[in-house]
Amino acid sequence: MANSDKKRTSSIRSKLIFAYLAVIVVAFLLLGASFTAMMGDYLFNSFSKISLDQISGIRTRIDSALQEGDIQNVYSVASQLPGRIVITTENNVAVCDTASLVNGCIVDPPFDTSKKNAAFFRPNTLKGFAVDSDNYIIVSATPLDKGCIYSLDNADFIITSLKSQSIRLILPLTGVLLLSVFLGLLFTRSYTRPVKELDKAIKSLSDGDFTVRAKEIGNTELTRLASAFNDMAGRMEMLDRSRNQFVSNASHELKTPLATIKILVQTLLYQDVYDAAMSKEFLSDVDREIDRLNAVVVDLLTLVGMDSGETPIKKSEMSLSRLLSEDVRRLSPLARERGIQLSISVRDELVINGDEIKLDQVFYNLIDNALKYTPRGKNVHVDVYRSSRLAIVKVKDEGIGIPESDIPHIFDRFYRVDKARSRDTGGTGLGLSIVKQIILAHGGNISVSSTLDKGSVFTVELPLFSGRIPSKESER
Amino acid sequence: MKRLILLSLCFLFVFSFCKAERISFSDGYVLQASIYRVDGDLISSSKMSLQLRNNESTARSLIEEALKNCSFLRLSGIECGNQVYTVLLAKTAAASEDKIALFSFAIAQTLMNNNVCEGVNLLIDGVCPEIDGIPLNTICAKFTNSLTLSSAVEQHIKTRRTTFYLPDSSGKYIVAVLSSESGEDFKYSGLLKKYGHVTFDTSVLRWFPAGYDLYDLFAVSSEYNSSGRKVIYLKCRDSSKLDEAFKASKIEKWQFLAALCYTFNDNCPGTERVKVFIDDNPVAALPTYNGAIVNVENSEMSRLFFSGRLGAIRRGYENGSRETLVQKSIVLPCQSMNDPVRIIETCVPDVNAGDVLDAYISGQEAYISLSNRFYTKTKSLSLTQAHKVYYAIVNTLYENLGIRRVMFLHDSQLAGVLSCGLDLSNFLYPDFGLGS
Repeated sequence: MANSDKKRTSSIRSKLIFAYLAVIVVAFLLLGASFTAMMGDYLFNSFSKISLDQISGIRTRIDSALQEGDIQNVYSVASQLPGRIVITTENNVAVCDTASLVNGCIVDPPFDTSKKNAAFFRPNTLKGFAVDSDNYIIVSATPLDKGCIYSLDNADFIITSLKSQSIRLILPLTGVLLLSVFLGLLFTRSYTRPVKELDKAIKSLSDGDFTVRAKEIGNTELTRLASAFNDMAGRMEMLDRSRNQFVSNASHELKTPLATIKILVQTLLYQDVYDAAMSKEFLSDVDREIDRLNAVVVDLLTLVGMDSGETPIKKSEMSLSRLLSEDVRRLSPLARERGIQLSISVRDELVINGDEIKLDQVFYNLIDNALKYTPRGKNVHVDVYRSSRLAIVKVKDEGIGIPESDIPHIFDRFYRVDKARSRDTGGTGLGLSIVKQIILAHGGNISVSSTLDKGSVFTVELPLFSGRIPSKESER
Repeated sequence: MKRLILLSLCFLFVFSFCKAERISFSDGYVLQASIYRVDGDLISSSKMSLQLRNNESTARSLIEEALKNCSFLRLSGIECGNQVYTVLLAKTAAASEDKIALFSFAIAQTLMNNNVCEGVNLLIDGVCPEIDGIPLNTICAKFTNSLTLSSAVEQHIKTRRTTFYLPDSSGKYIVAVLSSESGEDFKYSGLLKKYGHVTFDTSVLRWFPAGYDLYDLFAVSSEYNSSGRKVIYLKCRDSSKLDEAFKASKIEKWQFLAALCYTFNDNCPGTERVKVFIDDNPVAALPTYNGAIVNVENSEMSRLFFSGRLGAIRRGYENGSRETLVQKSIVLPCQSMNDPVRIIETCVPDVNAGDVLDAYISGQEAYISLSNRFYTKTKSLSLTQAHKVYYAIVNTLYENLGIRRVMFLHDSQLAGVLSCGLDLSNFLYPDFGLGS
């Protein structure tokens, strides 16, 4: 694995370095080519200008000598120039060639002399002048009154200069490439190191270590990727912890009543003398524990069913206001018994698309919880109203409140603020989890705000039924 | 079948007449010349347009123009040399020395001012003329204006040079060479002295090496023979040394004798004969160029004995390495020195006798008619080879005859474009880069 890691990181690094080098080489080649072309043009123009000046200088003398038919004079004038001179008549017949190659031959103009007066020829491309060497040639031309003067000059020096210039560029290019490799190795390390770190962390995570975190180096996309990984790892760690705790809690919740039942049954089994009253008490306890066990199993099954989608939400158009009014009415006797003032204000008639049974469970649970944790003489109020396209239900109590550190976990499964107290009140620790699950399944949201010893407010938001927006009703 | 063959022949016969128009050119050309004529006691010049026929000797035409108003001299021959021409005149009537001198100068000026030669020898009835004891050879003074006899003589004295004759290397000819020194030495012994100091083309001419001066080897004197002819006597002082000189120089004996004969005849006024003594014995048996021995009457040699052995140097070419041409000097017989066909055949390598059928010189243009064999042979040559052959011809005509451009003909038509690209349908001009 380590080798493949190395290979993977090395290939990214080497690709980066290769990319740098490719850019540099291409840039260098383009610059070099441009420079070489410019220099070639400059050399060609300079040389051809000199050549043209020379043949223009003898033009008048050649013209007059040709008119007189004095070829010897033509030849002696032409021979004074350094290059090979070919003089043609208006019929393109060479009357003078200082190289004695094409005298008497028809020599077609190598280029259109009306458009340009010099041209560069590669080896063996110049036709008509009996040039069969491997040299580069510059041909300059000046028209005569009747004919033309051509000067053919060896241009190998241009190619030699350009070649030596190109060779001279190789050394700095090599230096630049080596430096680029070195700097590339240096800089790419900063890119590949975060990848390496992330790769290591991913491996640890897949091996089961949820505590691993990737180093967040710098402020790049890789840093953000590492941060995202760390978030994911954190959530996975939390989920794993929650799962462990859930399993632990579930086991405990299931084991506790079973243990109690065991003790009670063993006591009954192993009593020497049958005591009816004690038996009845013990059996009542067993019954109660079975009920508790049953409640835990039911809640667990509910949650599991909602998680797996086996317990679907059956939505239909329903009146939320009516449901809440009904729940308040059903819990009023309990509230009176506990000396708590339970009230409801329905500001708007709210119709939603929901599962009435499940939502009844939700609000019954919330109001029941509020009553459980509110001391005698205090109030519990249910507020129902519309806000834009949402139905808002607030369950406010003046109870003991929830510590701030527990608020983020209040909807976690089996989470109890005060475990002992919850057990006394008969809670399974799954109620708010189920509430949240049901609300989320309806596309809504639930939140809580609380102050210790002052009370809590559970706020439920549900989307209104899109078909109808009923008018406001007076507060109950 | 017979009818078919006959019809084909008729068709070909008719077709041959219907071919492309043949080249025809004029029979002559006009030469703008400066002619010097005797006008009383003056030699006056005038510009004239001479109508000359093709191949006509320019020198002959000029001399005849100069002699138009001469009643006592007739041109009998011209010996053409490189730098010096010898004009052979015949006296048809009596004339004074002054008159003869005037016409001599007129002829000389005519030839020299029309760039025919640098110097002129005159022989009247085979004898060098003189005026007041001053030999009228070799005339080199050049005047552009009219002049009197006295001024002409005065200038002549200062500028006269000597024509020496030297043997050529082939052993066939003797060649006239103009001395570079001018002066007033009229003595015969001066000729012997100057013989060793003549500058000449050593590639084709020979003379005795240093240490074998003629002045030391021979004594010279003159006498009149029984016929009243003036004879130059050359007596060898040391025959063994003379033999050594012959061996060292490889000169043929007849060439040596011919050279002495011509030199003294042409430069010593009144001289008609030369007699050579070796070991006090006159040379009576004269070896000729082909090895035959001719007995000389009274051992007195004249120019006539060596008639036809006069040569002239022409510039030609020989094949060098790697298809190049090398310039060389070639000696031709004098009578052929202006013959373009002979010049081409002798001076141009790869051109054999019969390759050039004819040549027409029209002023400074030449039309060379090629044989079918030669033309066909050259058609398939490479450009380098064809260039070498044809431009050797053109250059040779330029250097020897002053021809400025040459047109090649084949079967009386313009020769076409050769396969190598050389275009013979246009005039070819000399290639001054040819040869080394």
